[in-house]
Amino acid sequence: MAYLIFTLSLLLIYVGLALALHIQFGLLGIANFGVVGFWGLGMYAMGVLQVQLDMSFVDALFLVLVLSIAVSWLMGWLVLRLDPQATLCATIAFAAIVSLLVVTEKWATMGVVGLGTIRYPFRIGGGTEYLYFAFLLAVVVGLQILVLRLHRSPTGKLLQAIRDNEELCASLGKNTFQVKMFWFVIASVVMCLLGALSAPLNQFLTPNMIVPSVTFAVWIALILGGKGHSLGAVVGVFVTFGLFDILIETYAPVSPELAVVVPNMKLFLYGLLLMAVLIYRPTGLLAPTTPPEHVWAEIRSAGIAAGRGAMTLFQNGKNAIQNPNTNQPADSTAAQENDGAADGKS
Amino acid sequence: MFDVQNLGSGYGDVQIISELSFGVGNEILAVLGANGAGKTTLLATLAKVIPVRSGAITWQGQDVSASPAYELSKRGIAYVPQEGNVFPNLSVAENLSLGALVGTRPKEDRLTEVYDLFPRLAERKEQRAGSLSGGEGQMLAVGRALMQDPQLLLLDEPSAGLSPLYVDILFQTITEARKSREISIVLAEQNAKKTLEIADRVLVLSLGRMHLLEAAKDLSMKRLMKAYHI
Repeated sequence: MAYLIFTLSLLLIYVGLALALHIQFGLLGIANFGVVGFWGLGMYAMGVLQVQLDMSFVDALFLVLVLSIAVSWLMGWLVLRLDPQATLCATIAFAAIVSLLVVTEKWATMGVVGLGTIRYPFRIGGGTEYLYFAFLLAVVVGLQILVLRLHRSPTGKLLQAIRDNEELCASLGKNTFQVKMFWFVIASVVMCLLGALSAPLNQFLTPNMIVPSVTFAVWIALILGGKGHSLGAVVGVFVTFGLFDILIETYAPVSPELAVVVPNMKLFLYGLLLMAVLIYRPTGLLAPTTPPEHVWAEIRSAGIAAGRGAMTLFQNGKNAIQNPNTNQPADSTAAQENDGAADGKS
Repeated sequence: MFDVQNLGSGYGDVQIISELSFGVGNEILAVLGANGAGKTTLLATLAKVIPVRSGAITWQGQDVSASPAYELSKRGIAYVPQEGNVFPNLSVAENLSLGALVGTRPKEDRLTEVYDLFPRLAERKEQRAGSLSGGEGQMLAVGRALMQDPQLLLLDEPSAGLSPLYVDILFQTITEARKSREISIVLAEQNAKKTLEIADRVLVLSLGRMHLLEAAKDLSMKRLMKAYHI
């Protein structure tokens, strides 16, 4: 039961991260690929302040807030004038810097040895984890309500207008850079604070927690759920993290032999689900839209070509196993099929 | 009121507008010229969507050459670009409401006025702007600019791609708005015949330079066509 509460708490953290990313990318169109950087910064800052400086949870949280505002503002100032590709690269670089600093600055972070133990803000015996879960739930529900209200508000419409045509929006009398900066900082600070709230959950922090897969998991969840829908983040995290990490990986009745395969299968199924959603519902599960007929035709021909290619590869592999001394495909049919696949793709 | 002196602008290494000087009073100033003459670049520069490279723009006695686009909007200059002039994912009403980001009059009053000018927009106020027809989209763009309560309106080829019926409606509305609100208008157009009917003065551009600036009533279509082919 304690493990279930732990994983559900993590799920809430992921929902919060996806909601913050929804504000940045879904509403404003800022491609922040440094989610794990902000989250990791908050988490390690909380750890260092609590463990190394022996601060209380509340004092540490306040300092994390101040630090995250400063860092988010600096990042916003650096990246918000860049084009989307450059923003993407710069935010990835930011996450890499945070990850490296955690390893190299051993005087504060203890490097690869790890940092712990981080305390819960309160302790009520066996019910601490439950109460902390309830606290996280309240935080994430509050965040979701904020996002729902933002969507319907004139501010939300302004953010969408900036995302769709920033130049036009500027000619309507809004300093679009200031608006983007404000909401970028708000969302990044939320990511940092969610990191700070993750620290007591993990209790012991190691550098291998700050890995790009956290960013990708949040992005996949948001895209699956629907980046432009106010509930897309929640649905996306439940479909990915909730379904695979909690339900299948933890509770599915799998034999010990297959248990090793499950984590890899999870990644495979993540990818498959993402492809299916991108093909059949490009704007996400919660955005009711169907691609036009010419897109369907392209999807069909690409699927047929990919199927032919896969069959050819399978045939070639089979032949190579049966005739290990032959480098070329055993028969010309495979080569012809290969040509056919290439034609189909073009 | 609005004064342009030795204006120069362009994109990257390419200089499009050179040494252009003119003023705009309480009138409709039509900017005409062949394709590539620099009409769109001129209006985008006046709206500060692209920066001024040389020269000066003065508005109500103040130099606004270095002001960003949002400052000009706050000072009463509205701009309707030729393309990408609506927010496709927002509804008609939401598009119009964004026009009320500047100005002091109640938004509802301004919305009522725009709906009176363009009844078609009132019928479609809940519809996504991306699903409007070309003519309705242009009406929406002009309507949103009027929501800004502008003193100067920069219109870049509002009739481009519209059917004759929509062109008539649009030009009629522009004339009505000009008369009822006393808005100065700079109107870049390809439709020379229609433009001559409503313009007070005409500026003909050729390769980014001023070729002709004269009162519309003194300008015959024959002379205008000759100017196009310089």
